[in-house]
Amino acid sequence: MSGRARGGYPIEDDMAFQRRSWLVERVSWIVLALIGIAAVLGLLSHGPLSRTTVASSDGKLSVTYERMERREASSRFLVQVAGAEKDGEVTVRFGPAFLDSYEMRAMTPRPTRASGSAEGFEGVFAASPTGEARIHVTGRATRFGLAEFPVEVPGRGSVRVRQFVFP
Amino acid sequence: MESVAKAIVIYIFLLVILRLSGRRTVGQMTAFDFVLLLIIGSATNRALLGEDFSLINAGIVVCTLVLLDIIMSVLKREFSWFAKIVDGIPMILVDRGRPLKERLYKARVDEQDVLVAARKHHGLEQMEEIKFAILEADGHISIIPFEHKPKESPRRARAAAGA
Repeated sequence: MSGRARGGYPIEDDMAFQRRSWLVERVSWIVLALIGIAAVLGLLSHGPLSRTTVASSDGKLSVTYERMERREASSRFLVQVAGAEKDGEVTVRFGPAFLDSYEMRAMTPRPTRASGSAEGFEGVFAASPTGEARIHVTGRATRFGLAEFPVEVPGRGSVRVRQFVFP
Repeated sequence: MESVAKAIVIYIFLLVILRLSGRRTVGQMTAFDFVLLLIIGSATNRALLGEDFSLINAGIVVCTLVLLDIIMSVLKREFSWFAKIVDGIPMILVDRGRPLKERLYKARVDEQDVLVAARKHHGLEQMEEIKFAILEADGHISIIPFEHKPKESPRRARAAAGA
């Protein structure tokens, strides 16, 4: 502020501008609260609205994961296969897009064999005596946007996993 | 490329959020506010650097942030409306001994804060002794007393009246 303002005041204040900034401030508080609520609900990943399960039409293959994920955060996919041959092996194939969008961090249990090809990444796991397999796969999203890839168990169907990755 | 983009996004994000939180945050910083700033710093740290802790990456981020700061100061100098939006504007809180209640309330400053500033810088005891109290854009409260104490040099008194 240069020079002396009118009416003997040391500054000239702009109350119209000040009121506008207060209004923007108040609106921003609401936005901050909404962000908090969205985070609790899981709209920004890791919450009840984010968790989802996709299953094949016969229900023998299902994948549970977060619909929303964050870049550079660990993302867990739980692959469940029912009706495997007892003491047999289960092959799980992740489409090629998986490795484009994620960096494989861990698989529990470890696959007995693993291979990669143009069709994606394939792991062979031992099925439990009851004939089912539960496989946790942890990947780290390496880029943001929509990641979409098929998870397939040859002979038992295939599901499409769609995950939105926040930057 | 990514480091530059991240630094720009974080810079703008922090600028907006700190501006929106109100200037009290910076002006009257309490010990807790200080801790809060440290936490904000470390929360954004990982987002800025990711897993790349190389010298080059740190250099890129630092250069980008400093450059942004320079650009901001140039923009503020060139466009007064921009400075107004980024820094806010000063506002009179006390008009000839009369506290302007609505402004104090909206600015989240109370009469005690004004009196603290009056005591600290001018040794004033009461609201009536304050001619003007101004909430500066940086969040500090300036006090202009009715009558300048004799101990003040004429120059300081002039500066206080004309600031």
